[in-house]
Amino acid sequence: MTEPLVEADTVSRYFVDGDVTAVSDVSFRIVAGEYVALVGKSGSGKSTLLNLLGGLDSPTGGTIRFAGRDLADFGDPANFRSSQLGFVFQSFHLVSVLTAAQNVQLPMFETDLSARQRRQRAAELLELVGMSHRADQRPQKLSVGERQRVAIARALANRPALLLADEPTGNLDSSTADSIFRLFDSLHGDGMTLLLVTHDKLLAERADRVLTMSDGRLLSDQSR
Amino acid sequence: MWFITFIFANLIGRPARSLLTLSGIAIAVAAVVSLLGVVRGFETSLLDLYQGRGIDVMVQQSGRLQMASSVLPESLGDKIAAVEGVAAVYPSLIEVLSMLPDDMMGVVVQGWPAKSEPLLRLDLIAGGLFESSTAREVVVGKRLAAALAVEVGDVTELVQGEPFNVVGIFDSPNVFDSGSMFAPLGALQELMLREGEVTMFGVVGESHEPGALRDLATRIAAADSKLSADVADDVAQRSTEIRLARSFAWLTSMIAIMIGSVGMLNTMMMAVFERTREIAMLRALGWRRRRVIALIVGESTLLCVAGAVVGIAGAILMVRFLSEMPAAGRLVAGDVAPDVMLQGLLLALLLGLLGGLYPAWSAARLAPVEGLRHD
Repeated sequence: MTEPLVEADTVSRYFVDGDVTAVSDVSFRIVAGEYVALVGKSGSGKSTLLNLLGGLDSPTGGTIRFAGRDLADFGDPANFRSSQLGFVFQSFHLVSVLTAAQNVQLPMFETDLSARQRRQRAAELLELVGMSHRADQRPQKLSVGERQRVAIARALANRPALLLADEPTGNLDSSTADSIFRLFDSLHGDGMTLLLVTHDKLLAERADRVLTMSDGRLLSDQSR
Repeated sequence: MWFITFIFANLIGRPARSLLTLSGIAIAVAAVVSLLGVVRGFETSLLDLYQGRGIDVMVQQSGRLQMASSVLPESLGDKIAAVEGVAAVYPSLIEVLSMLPDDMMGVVVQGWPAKSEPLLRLDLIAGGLFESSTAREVVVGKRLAAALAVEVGDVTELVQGEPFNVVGIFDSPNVFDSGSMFAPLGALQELMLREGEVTMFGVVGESHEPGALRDLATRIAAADSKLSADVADDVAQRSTEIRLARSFAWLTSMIAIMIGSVGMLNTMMMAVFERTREIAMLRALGWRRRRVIALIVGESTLLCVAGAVVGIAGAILMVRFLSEMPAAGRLVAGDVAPDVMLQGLLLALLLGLLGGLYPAWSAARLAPVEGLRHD
């Protein structure tokens, strides 16, 4: 049997504030190279689960393993995020005072790459997402679709094992969203493991597997 | 991109806030550097004053805190001259007169006997010295001459209705000297109704070695209970005026530091608050806490160093400007010592650290998941 890249075992997240159980006893596995969509209504617990998988939050119950290692074994969660994960956010979160190329270099500060190597890597990534012609532009000068492409390039900066995306097309119109879909397809085609939280049915349909959440529980796990 | 490029971009990207903070730091540093610079110049000038006149030991009335209030009979000069190791004794009367309108510090008039060592050392640029100890003549320092608008051949009134002829103008790199005037001892005693009285005796030793001079000062003080004797260097170091000025400068500097720190703290706290999502995003991308701290402290330090450069330049200009002013120029030397500038730079770095550390710490402990939700 293939070793899972991500393994959630009866994971729960309970918030004392408001007495809410956001995620309850969720278990699943993702193997390397899978393209997984996590869907569900607002408040179903998908973003909370994504935060837990990304080490941005800690479960109050159960365990999450990454490549066979408990997340707690990575020490500082920042080490785990820097070396293993790429994050794509709904609202891009690009730094307004930096150019596209400089934004892509931000995660690389936690690596041993030299300034020249960082510049070179950023140029390659912008080329990959079709943004090399806009490398010197600041986010304000970019369209929303271009911003999301730059954010995806940034997420790939440290060659992550897993790309996590939270509503990556939530702020995009349909044609722009379509170009982002194709970009994810292309990354998946290159062997990247993707886990996308989305409301977008069209995006979810492109995934190999769809996990559906409701009221903090995993309602279904369907593979195509 | 270098890490410092990001720091620069954050500062340049918010020009109004950066400039305002930089201005606050520059004002604090300028205040500290100019105050300490003026006091240091004051101290150096006072030290040079005695050393430059060839006086080794200064003798004044015992028990007096300030030399200006010392009163001694001139006749004690013979007793001092008889002490072993004394080469020469020069009696001097020092008076501070009000000769300039709106002048708060007054004009120092020094009465010395004609042909005494301190007079012979003056660097005359016009005219000559007085020949008699009772002549109504004065030799005026260049800065004071400019303030009084007098030249050789003019008459100036030391007190109202008491004219003295200006017989010479001298130059001196020392602001005290250049801002004062010399009069014959006898004439000044008569003018101030202090016949037979002096303020101090300047003693020249047979040996100028510091240890020998301290021994000489001890012997002079032992010669008469009314006398207190100090090596000239020590007088400058122990001067009440210097100590007061130094304390005042440091007190004012501390206030400037506090104001600067609070300003920097406020700016950096605002910067962290405004950029909560950005910092949370950086943490989500894998930035470690220490890198977030380096970013915030780097920004505050860079602002402070830039503020220090502007502040030090401002202080140099301010001190030069003050030294050119007719009234203040008699007190303020025109240069700021390099070590005072260094103190200003170190102060700015301290401000950067004080003002940046707490905001940096609060940014570093921000939970990314909370920060990303921040509106």
